[in-house]
Amino acid sequence: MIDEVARPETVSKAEEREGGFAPILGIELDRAYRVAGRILGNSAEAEDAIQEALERAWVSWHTLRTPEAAQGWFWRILVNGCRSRLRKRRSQPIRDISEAIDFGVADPLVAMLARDVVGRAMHVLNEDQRVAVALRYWGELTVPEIADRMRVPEGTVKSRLHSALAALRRELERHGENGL
Amino acid sequence: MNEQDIDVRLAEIARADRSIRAPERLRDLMRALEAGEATPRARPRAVAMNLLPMRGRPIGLAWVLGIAAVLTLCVVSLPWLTGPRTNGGGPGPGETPGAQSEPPSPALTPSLAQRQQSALMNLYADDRRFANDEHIHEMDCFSTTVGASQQAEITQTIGTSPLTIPLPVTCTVVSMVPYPVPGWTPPMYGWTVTLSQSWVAGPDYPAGYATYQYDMEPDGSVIHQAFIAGSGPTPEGKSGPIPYYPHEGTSKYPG
Repeated sequence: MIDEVARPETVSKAEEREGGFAPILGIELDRAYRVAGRILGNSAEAEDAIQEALERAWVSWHTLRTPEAAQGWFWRILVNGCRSRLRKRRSQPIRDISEAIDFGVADPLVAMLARDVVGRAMHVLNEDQRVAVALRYWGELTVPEIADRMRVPEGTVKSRLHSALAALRRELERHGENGL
Repeated sequence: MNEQDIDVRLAEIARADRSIRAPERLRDLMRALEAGEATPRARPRAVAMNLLPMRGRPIGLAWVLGIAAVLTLCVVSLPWLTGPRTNGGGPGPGETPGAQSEPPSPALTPSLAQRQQSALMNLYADDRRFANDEHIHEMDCFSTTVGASQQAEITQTIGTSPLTIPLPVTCTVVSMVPYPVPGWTPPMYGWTVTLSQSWVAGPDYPAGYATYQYDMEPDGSVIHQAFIAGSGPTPEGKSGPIPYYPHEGTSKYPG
């Protein structure tokens, strides 16, 4: 039976969610842009990835049951989009991830990374490590939150973060801290 | 430099990066989308989802299964009937279902059917790998055959908190529609999978259903998921279009 009493409330809640799109996700935009930039290695692709994630999120915005879930949901869309771009880059060998990090000065995201020896070593990270590191440090997410965004168990996140730090250490040892 | 030093250094770089802001164009895009002044870039979508939403209407198990069968027949057997799709889930706010002209989904050749099966299995495998306190094996009740339904008792729904009491449901793989992934030559096909869970009325709760849609990579990795249609009890104890499962933590129907 259609419950006429429930309808207005349901509609008003839906409208409230729709109206909250820019305010709710806007808070995350700068952080999301930096994370996407660190995953993808340059600001142009980060911008594309964010645009795509926003469009995907908007199309299904009305299906969200609770506004509280919006940010985690948006991050999952963004992470999936970034991973998809990395996979596509790999399977269509135009250039690999390390080549994508061009330490030119025109790109602010690239320039910031190039200032630090650890930043310059980040090209050694594989896709999974790169996503985990970006979410941990640039996304400022906890391990359970990263697990949720990457859809992997928490143990896997810890393992990826650990192996990422180990890979960076090896890279720094190989080249010497001033050699990178 | 040891790993602890690297950890500290990464945190410092990230802090320094906080001065980097997203281009204003992205904020403009958000506002334009919300104001209806911008339209998401289109990509193929199945007509199936344009038929499914029946928001606010009571719905029984027979109706759900009947629709599922019809949709499956349309999608699997008559792919040329499939129509326009856009990004992600069902039609967005202000979007007119079926109003765009897009290439139809390809016919399900034996080779594509094989990939479809493989992608579906990967979707379930990913779900099993993704085990934490809140999302445990939420797809276990679904068949590995597109169009098939299975009865099950679930304690975990899709994307919500665990149920306090097991709920008998029918889990249906409504459809799995291929769409060409842009930029691939020869063409690669991603998938849009529609899963539905329905339950009959119990002694203290009304019948309901919830339908979800997943956009997937060719290999079954989920790009995007969304609740797209449903009916059932709301937390307020009414019946509404966005259902809560009868024994869900916040439901007024604790079972």
